[in-house]
Amino acid sequence: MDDFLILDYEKINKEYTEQLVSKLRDFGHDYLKFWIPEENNVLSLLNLFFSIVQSGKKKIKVKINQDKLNKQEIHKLETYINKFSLYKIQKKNDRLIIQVQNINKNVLEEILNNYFIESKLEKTKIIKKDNYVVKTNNEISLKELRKFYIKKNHKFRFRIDSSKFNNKSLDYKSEIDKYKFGVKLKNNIIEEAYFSSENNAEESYFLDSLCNVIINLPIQEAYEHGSVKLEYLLRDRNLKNIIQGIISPFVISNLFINCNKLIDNIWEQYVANNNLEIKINFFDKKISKNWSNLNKDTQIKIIQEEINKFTNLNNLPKLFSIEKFEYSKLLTLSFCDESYINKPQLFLNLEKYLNSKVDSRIDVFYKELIDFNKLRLKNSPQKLV
Amino acid sequence: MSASQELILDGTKIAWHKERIESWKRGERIAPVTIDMALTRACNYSCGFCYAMFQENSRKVITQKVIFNFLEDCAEIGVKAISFVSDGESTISPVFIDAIKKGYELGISMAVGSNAFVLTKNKLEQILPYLTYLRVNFSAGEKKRYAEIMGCKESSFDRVCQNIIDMVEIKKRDNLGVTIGMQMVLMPVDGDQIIPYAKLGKKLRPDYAIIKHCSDSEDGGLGINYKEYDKLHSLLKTAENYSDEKYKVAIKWSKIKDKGKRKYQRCFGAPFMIQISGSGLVAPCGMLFNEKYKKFHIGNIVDTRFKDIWNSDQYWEVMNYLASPAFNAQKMCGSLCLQHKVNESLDSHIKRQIDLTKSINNSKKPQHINFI
Repeated sequence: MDDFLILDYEKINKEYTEQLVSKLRDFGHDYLKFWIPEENNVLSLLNLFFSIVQSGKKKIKVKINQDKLNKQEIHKLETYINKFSLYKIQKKNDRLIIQVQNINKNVLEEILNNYFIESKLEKTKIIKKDNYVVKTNNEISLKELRKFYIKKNHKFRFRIDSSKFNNKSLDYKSEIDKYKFGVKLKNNIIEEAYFSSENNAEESYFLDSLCNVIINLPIQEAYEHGSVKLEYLLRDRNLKNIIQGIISPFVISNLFINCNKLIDNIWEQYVANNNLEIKINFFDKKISKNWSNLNKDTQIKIIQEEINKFTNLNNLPKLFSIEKFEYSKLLTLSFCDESYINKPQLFLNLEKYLNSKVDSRIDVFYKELIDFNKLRLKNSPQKLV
Repeated sequence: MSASQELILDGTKIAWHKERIESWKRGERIAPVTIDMALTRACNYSCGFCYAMFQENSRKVITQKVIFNFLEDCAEIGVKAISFVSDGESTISPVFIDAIKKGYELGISMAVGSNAFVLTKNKLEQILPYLTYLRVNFSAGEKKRYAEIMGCKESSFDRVCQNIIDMVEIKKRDNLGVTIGMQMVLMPVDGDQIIPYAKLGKKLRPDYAIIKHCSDSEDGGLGINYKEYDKLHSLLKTAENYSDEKYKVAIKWSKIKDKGKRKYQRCFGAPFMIQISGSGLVAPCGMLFNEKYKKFHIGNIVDTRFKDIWNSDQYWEVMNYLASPAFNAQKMCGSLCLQHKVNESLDSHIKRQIDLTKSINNSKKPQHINFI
């Protein structure tokens, strides 16, 4: 009885490559579980025999296209398989049939273990390159940078003169150089914020804007993220043409030095006064009441209208379809035209648009791609199948 | 590698990359110090805790040409280290060995995290000389439980144990610099395996055996109750006692104690450390691989050269978004991501709580410095 395991090398190679993208778990046939195709076909075949032998099979026929192995490679292969088996190599049409039986597992394993001994002695030549080439060097003066943050005709809302500031009943005050800054709290929330400065319109502009940003925020949030929020609020979007990397750390550490010092000082006083054990700040901006008070159908209608406006503004055809809208903020969309190329950028831009037009908490998602492998899901803690 | 160098297993090495931090602060386009990636999304195991089930995206094949181009681009722009971990079992990719050698030749520190099932002796002979570390995912200490937890046959336990013994033997024989580790991803329900795992490690003799928390998606898809880890505290302490002079049982206490919570809201770490899916997808973070998070998908190395992706406006648009108040990692991300410790440090730096560029003055350089 011919109980040879017969394999078509090209076929299993193709299947292997296909399964790399079509399966997530439970990968490969049992007798192929150790086999990984290699560029080096001699090694690849030896590994194939090794894998099959692990499953207990000892009689194998492998059909392989003749052009996969040149004369030297066939000779090399024969030298090896002669050491661990009874073998026969036949030519049939344009294919080779490699037949091995009575495989000595230990000898095969030893051959594989020593396969690279020779090449290992030739040390790999390291072609180290000089790491880290700075590709961009932002050259922008502070004066120039300020132009991207200061808007003309600003009306000051939180500046008061020095004597008024001194007399003002505020919970915490701080002072640096010519600048005075103070806040009034109610249940740890900043209810009022003021500053005083005699000159320097630009610095005053930042302080006025900071007061505007931190009012109604918890004091910890104002300390931790006041300047990040200030930077994001004031930034002219064209700045990205000048600062090509990450913008906020550069700006915060250069433009908002005084704002940071003043708010840091307030926070230190607050911590000391309250003998505070600092906890993690979980403050998150809430959905606006105007928006959350609307019913779901109205919300979806408004979102659809804004999506239409967005596509019109960008001269796009009808691209999006609303799949799901949950908790007044989680919006899941699908694409009507799957061939559209730059979906990621479009999604991010649409989200920014909806944040500015509808509510700043709206998150835009694409349809979730579910793991379809049953074995994987079955082994999950929630036993999803 | 000097024996006196510290092996940081529960922290970040970002502060040792001062020049990169300074460039970041100047608003320059910095190359990632570390990239974590996979060569395929496929895997021959089916671990119950595997985050990859949440990371499905359109799959493409990373061929030898693709990975060689990618590695050359990484060397050119200044990526210092690449780990093959991410969302697939890279050892089953046909380009695995070639990729390690090529990366090493280009001067990039290379590392692997694997279930090590196919890493038999002949493969180990080929890769160990070129690796900074090889970490074996091994989430149990007993054969039967190993098969249950990791979704494989019981016989796989013996095979992988043998492979670890071979790793240790080759390292010793050739006096290699590679660090060999084992890693247990601990689900609270698998506490019975903590001590058997620590004991097994002591027998197999890797350099370390780490025990870490399990990450979960932002909507708790794996159902991890982080409070349950408290009950395992004394077992974990006992496991640490199995350490000796040449074998360290390390618990990632900081992440376990964080109970899946983040102190920070912005993700400043992504430009220093990005992740690439086994599909070739470039995203700031593995937790954002699923198609659901398409708005964060920057490109695919199968279609576009990595240096062009890195230098694209889309790449920096996404990175700036993650650093902005529009993004809140506490609400929008799964628990305790790869960049967690880097994010913590950079966030504290931005909040003026620490000066990262001065924080390591006079400290000795740790091992694996490029894997931040």
